[in-house]
Order: sequence, then structure tokens, then C-alpha cells
Amino acid sequence: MILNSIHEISIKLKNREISVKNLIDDLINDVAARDSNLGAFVSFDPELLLQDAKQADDQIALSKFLGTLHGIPIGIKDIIDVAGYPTRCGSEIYSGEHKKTNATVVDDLRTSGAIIAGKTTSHELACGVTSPPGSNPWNINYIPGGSSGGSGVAVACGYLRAALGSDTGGSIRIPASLCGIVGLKPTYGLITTTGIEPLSTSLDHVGPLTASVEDCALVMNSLVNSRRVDYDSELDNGINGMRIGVLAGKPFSPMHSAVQQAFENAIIRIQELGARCVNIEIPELEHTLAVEFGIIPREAAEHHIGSLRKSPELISEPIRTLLVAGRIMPKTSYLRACQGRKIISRAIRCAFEENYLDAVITPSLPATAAKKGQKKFSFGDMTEDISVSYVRTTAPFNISGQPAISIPCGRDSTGLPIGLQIATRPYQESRALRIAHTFANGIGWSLLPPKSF
Amino acid sequence: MSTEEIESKLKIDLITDTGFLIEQIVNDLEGRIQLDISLNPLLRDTIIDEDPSFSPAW
Repeated sequence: MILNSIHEISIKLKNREISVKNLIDDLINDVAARDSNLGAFVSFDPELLLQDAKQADDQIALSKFLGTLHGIPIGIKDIIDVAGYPTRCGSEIYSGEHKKTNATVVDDLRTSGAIIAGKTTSHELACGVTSPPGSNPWNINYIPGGSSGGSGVAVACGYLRAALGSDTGGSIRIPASLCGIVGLKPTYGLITTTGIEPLSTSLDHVGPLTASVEDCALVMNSLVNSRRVDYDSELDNGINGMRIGVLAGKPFSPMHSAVQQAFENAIIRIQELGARCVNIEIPELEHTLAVEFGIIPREAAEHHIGSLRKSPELISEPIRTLLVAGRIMPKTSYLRACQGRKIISRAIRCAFEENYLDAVITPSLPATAAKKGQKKFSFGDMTEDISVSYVRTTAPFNISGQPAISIPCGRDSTGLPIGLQIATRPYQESRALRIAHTFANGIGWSLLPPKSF
Repeated sequence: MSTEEIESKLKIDLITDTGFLIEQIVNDLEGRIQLDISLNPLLRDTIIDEDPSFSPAW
């Protein structure tokens, strides 16, 4: 069943042109047919889904329609607690015991009537960019990105219109960019992480990956009801007169030529849509990775010290190394990174204020999806670990905590998606969504999931 | 940081079995120390705040 938006689905459900059971039957059949190749879900319970579907349909029959998300299936990254499911975080250190309570974000979705579709694949401990066994729906020999890779796959392949992910150094925006969908990292602290396994508590964010900007706004309405903001109310207001900074220099360069071209085309289009683009550089951002990688190990190790002591063999070597470093590096290193964070955040703020910016744009990532098993990218004479490549362009906005959204802006020569990243001032998610929506309409983008495998 | 220092820190922290050779940890830490040093031009003479907490608000 091809439906173009959560809004469209919602109207059809409310008018009883389709039932929630119809949606869920399609989902169950689709996952059964394709997920052995795609690896989006790690926990998927058709019986539970059909029970939830019946309840949702019964409510609709009694005219108890809870809102636009009523009956909509939404995937949940497997670091986020859902009652009745285990939370395994892609790791053997978790027991597989079924949780009894929901994370707050899951409660919020349920209150809005959403159906929890299942638990999506997470890279181990949310600490990586490849999310095995997930596959990129545009070419299953390529990675979907991570660590919220399963959520990226589930939306990009057409199972779902929306899924939740988490983002500590890009883990929503990386799979969004590589899978050709929308991914929003909101302002730090805007959406509570209660009931979510942490990686690095001062950098962790939770947010949606969706098939359109409108869908993203609708999910945000459910997750952030405390702020009384309608994230979809500004979407159609355009970007005429906005000032948008084009961030150049490190850490956004170097980038692959296809990304460069797509980004330049995006700038032209944004200007045609009425915004003024201003080139800016923020030299302090050169230190992004030193700050990001200076903070994560200590905070991650604090959470996982028990497993490091009792069962280190259950943690993969790269992550074990990171955790050990977190315990051994002196506290002064961590505090220096935290101080660096404050300096970088202040520099970004100054750039916004001195240039009267509404937003900044960058390529979401300097490259498209890596092949499975690929360890490095080449950028001319330079080679770089793929995790470093992917994190260097996204981490600046984990460090500053401001909202950042990735929206598709093109493809490389093999058809793999390229993302445009838009970052706005803290708590201005509506503005980020508005710019993304205007851009998406401006280039005529809507997600057409690839043919099934 | 020497191998002995690392082994001593791990022992104090009750991490008795890291699952790999100490040399791997030494190499990894070398890289992290360099990353830390690379922050010097950013931090300059800034007094390092003992409070690492962060708020995104402007």
C-alpha cells in the first residue's frame, strides 16, 4: 500500500477507508518477505502488532480518534525501552529480558495512538556507524549508516513512515543521509531520554527518522507536547528573506565530488527559493572530533563499567578499547574536552549573531554509503576511517546541542543518496523543518522506496 | 603513559581482563593523548571549568 504521508493515512483511517489492521497486515507481510535481506528489525512481534491494531481499530469505531498518529506504526531503535520487548542495544551484554515499562518517548507515542512496530537494529551500544546486519535499501551491499541504522532502513524501504533513533555524534543524521530520508536531531534536552540506554549522556539526543518533513513534524508534535509547539504549523511559510550560512572549511571538507556537486546545487536552489546564502567559516570547528572523542569514552565507560569488569569478552574490540580508554584517560582530558565544547558552542553562536543567520547548511556527510566491510574513505591524498568521515560533519551540532536535520538533496553516480544538513538556533526546530520542507518541495523530492529485494 | 601505569590503573579499577594485549591499549591511548594535545590551540589560557555540565540555550 503506497500512501504519501502520515496525514493521508490518518484521514483514511479516520474515515474508515482503510483499517489499522490493513496497515499492520501489509507491514507484517512486507517484513516477512524482505527483512532477511534488509535487517531493519531485531524484534518484531506480529501477534502483539495485531492486538494493538485491533485496539486502535476498536477505538476508531467508537469515534475515539486520538490524533494524527492514531494507528500509525512507528519503529523504535533497540536502545529505547518498550514494554513487552527486550532492549538489547545490539550487544550481548544485555540479557534479553522483556521490559515492563516504556521509555517516556514511547509512552508519548502511545498516548497519541501510535502503534509500536517493533525494535529496530542499533549498532552495538549505539557506538558505531554501520549497524550490522542492516543493509542499505538502495543497494544491500552497502551500509545503512548508524547507529540508528535499523530505523533508517525501516523508513527508507517503505515499511514505515517514521521511526525513532538516537544521536550522539550523528546517529540519526548518518542513516538518514545514507538511506535518503529525513532525520532530525532536536535541541539537546528537548526530548527526554528517560528509558533510553545512554552512550554519552551529555551528547545523547533522541529524535525521529521519517519519510517526509511533514511526517517528522507530526512525530515531533507527539514527542514535545510539553512545549505546546505545533511543529507543522510553519512548514508552508517559505524561506523568503532568510539568511542562511554556508559552512565551509574543516571539518566539512574534504568531501567526495558527488557530495560537493549536490551541495552546490542545493545552495543554488535555496537561493532561488528566496533565501540569502552567506559563506562563513568557524575555525574553532576544526577541533570537533577532539572534543567529541574526548567526551564520549569517559561517559560511556561510566555507564558500562560493570560489563567491562565482568564480561569484557561480550563487547567488541573497538568499543572495548574505547571504554578502557574512558577509564584510563585522566579526568583533566575529559574536562578539557568539555571546555572545548563550550568554546565551540560560543563560536557557533557568535557566527549566527554576527551574520544575522536563521540557519547554517552543510553536507550531512562528506561521502555516500560505504560498502559493507569497507574501513576507509579516500579524499584525494588523504584516507580516513569511515566513522571519522561520517562523524566530523554531524558532531558539531551534538557539541553545540542545537537542532540539525538531514534532508535528501541528491544521489551519487551509483544512485546512493546524499544529504543536506540544516542547523538552526536552539529550540528552533520549527525553523529547521520549515527550511527542509521548502527545500524538499523546491527540488520535488518525495521518498519513493526502492524496489523490494 | 607506560605499560606499568596502565596495568596499575586497570587493576585499581578492577578491570582484570580487557580481553586484549596491553600494547593495543597503549597504542590507542597514544592516539587519544595526541587528540587531547590538539585542543591546546582552542583552549589557550582558558581556565578549565571543573563543572562539565552543558546547556544549549543561547
